[in-house]
Parts: sequence; structure tokens; C-alpha cells
Amino acid sequence: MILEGVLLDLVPYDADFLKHEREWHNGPMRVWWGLDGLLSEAGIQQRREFFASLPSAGQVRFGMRAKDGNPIGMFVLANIDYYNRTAEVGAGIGDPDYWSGGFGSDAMLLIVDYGFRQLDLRRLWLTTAGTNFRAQRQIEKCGFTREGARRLELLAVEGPGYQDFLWYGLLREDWPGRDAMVEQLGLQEKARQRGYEDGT
Amino acid sequence: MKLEGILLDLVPFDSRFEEHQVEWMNGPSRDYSGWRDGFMTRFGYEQMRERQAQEPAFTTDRLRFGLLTKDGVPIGAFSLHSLRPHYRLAEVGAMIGNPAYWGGGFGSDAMLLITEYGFRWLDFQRLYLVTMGHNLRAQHQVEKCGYTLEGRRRDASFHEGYTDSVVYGLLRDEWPGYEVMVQRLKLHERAQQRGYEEEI
Repeated sequence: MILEGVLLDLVPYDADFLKHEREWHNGPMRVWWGLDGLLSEAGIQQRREFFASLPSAGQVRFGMRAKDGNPIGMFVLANIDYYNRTAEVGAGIGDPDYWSGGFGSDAMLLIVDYGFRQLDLRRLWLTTAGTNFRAQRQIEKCGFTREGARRLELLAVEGPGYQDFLWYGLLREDWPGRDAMVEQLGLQEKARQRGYEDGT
Repeated sequence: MKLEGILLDLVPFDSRFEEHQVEWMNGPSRDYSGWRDGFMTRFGYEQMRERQAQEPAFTTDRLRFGLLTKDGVPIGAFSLHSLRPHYRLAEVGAMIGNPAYWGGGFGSDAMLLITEYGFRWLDFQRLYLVTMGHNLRAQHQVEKCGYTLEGRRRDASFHEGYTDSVVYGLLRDEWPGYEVMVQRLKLHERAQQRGYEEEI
């Protein structure tokens, strides 16, 4: 399954992405993922085996492939709860060259649309670190509402010790639809600047 | 191990409590439990316990106490779970299964005991708990016990309609200690009214 966006596509999380995992986990992204310690290839392998042993239901994992063909990160719908009709969004752009270019926003709009329209969920939520201002700005741009700050819940890998853990939620009734959001965030313009073909 | 309170003690969660579990889970507590559809049968409960015994996380991740009133009646259970020693935090879980003991200060006494235990014995720096939006009694009680409202996850759970999921947190720096809180909540007076303590 492929979800086609403007700057990137969300595609199956296959070997193309797996081979970058170690580099991504040990790169600048790890600060925001709260990973303690660098991962070795063996460590990565253990993590994979652990994740493979979990029930696969309740999680949908996508790779982010930029329109120039590069695999740049992952987006996940996790903790899918069909009773309460909610799910958590997890995200990481492993390659920092693709930070701040609208790629995360494009992927977020795709996955939100997928959650609400394909999976018929009615609430999506996510968490981020109190010092991750870049993510907070992006999440709010994409329409999520800050619902709370769990005080001093995170021990930062680098930096000032304990920090807050922020919770965001988006209800389907507050979602104007992907097309409106693509327009609002000016993603077509960003795609043209990058020289990608029009993604619509 | 036993944690001695004013109106009750927290004691090991043993067969005295187990034998009431099905009755408690089907009683008025279930409106606030998030236990979802259907009622619990004794057979279903035994199956659930067997399944839990197979899960390492369930036994290592959870400290569970029974609530035994000073006159020897088992009335419910409190737990510290989702223990995260690395972050030094845990979640508090609570249930008074016997509604005759609602509104009598028993839950507050147990909450103070388990909070003291988490901060003083386990050296945690943060405790938090989650309750359903329609459980106003619990919200009132945890606020009295010093917990701060940190967030309201809109429509995050379902019980006869969608309801919020409300998060409260308490940091060790904010905790004045068990004795101070007992005075503040006048638990000795409650104990005297019940005849557990003599009036001075």
C-alpha cells in the first residue's frame, strides 16, 4: 500500500528502510526518541526480533520516501484501539537533511487522513518531548491540539535532565480534510521549490 | 509487607481479595474502569489470571496491594504499575470495589499511603494516574491528595458514549509527606467516627 503525498510517499517499511535504521537511530533523531545509548547492529537486530514477536495487529508502519527517491524516515500508527477508535502517531525523520522542509507535515497529513478515512478512527494522538519545539510547531500546524503536559516525565538523553512530556490530540470532527490542509500549509509550493513534480 | 494507614492498611493482594474480584469488577466500579464490553465471569477471571501469570511484564511491572480496613474488611485494590525505574516514575491504579466504602476517606488514605511509598521507599520523582472524564468523584479525591491536573485527552475512551481521559501528576518536590496530608484531610477524625481510633 502506498499513500501518495506532495513531497513524499508513505510506502511499505521494507529493506530499503531497515538498512538505514542504525544510522538513523544513532543520528540526531535519537535525542528526540529518548534512546539511551547508541545502538549496535546486534542491538538493532534484537529490537527487530522483539518487535517481530509482538502481535502485529494494532500497528501500521510506513517508510517515508521523498519524491527524489530517498528513504528518509518512518511514520507509524501504533496502539490502534478499535474499541475506543483511537490510535497513536509515531514519527521520525532519520535523515536531518530533510528536517524543516515540509516532509514531516506532508507525511502527517497522509497518515491522519488514512487513520480517519480508511481505518474509521475518530481520535488520533501523539506525544513529544517538552524541548522538541520543532515537532510542537509542526504538530500544531497540522491541526493537533495540546491536551496536556505530563510534568517531568522524561529524562533527557542529552541536556537539562528531566523535562515535560506533551500530549496532543486530534478529533475527526476538527479535521478539515487533507486537501484543505495541503493548501493551508503550502506544500505544493515547497514541492515546486524542490523541483519535484506536482504531487496531486 | 504492610503499609499502615489510619482507616486501612495496604497489604499483599492475596486470596482474601482475589475472591472478591469478580464481584467488584461487575459492581458499580465498572462504570469507571474501562473494562469494556460484557461482564466478568469467574471462569473468565481465572483465564485472565493465568494469562497474566505468563506475562513477565505483568508481574515485574506491577506492585499490587489489597485495601484492608482497620476492622478487617477487604474493600479494593491499589497498585503502582508501569514502573519505569530509569525515569523514576510510576502510574497509580486504584479501585474500591465495595461501594459502601466510597466517600469515607478510605481511598484518600490509600492514595496517601501509596504516594508516600512511591516517593519515600521507591525513590521515585513522579507519580501519575489516569481517570475517566465522568469520574468526578475520583478527580475531586486526587486533587485533595495533592495531584495536579496535567491534561485532558479528549474523547479518548468509551463508556456509554465517548468520554475524556484525564491525567493527574504529582512530583516529589510537591509532596508534603504522609503525616501532613493526614492532618490536612482530617483522617483521624474519620477514624474516630468509625470507632477505629479513640477520641482524644
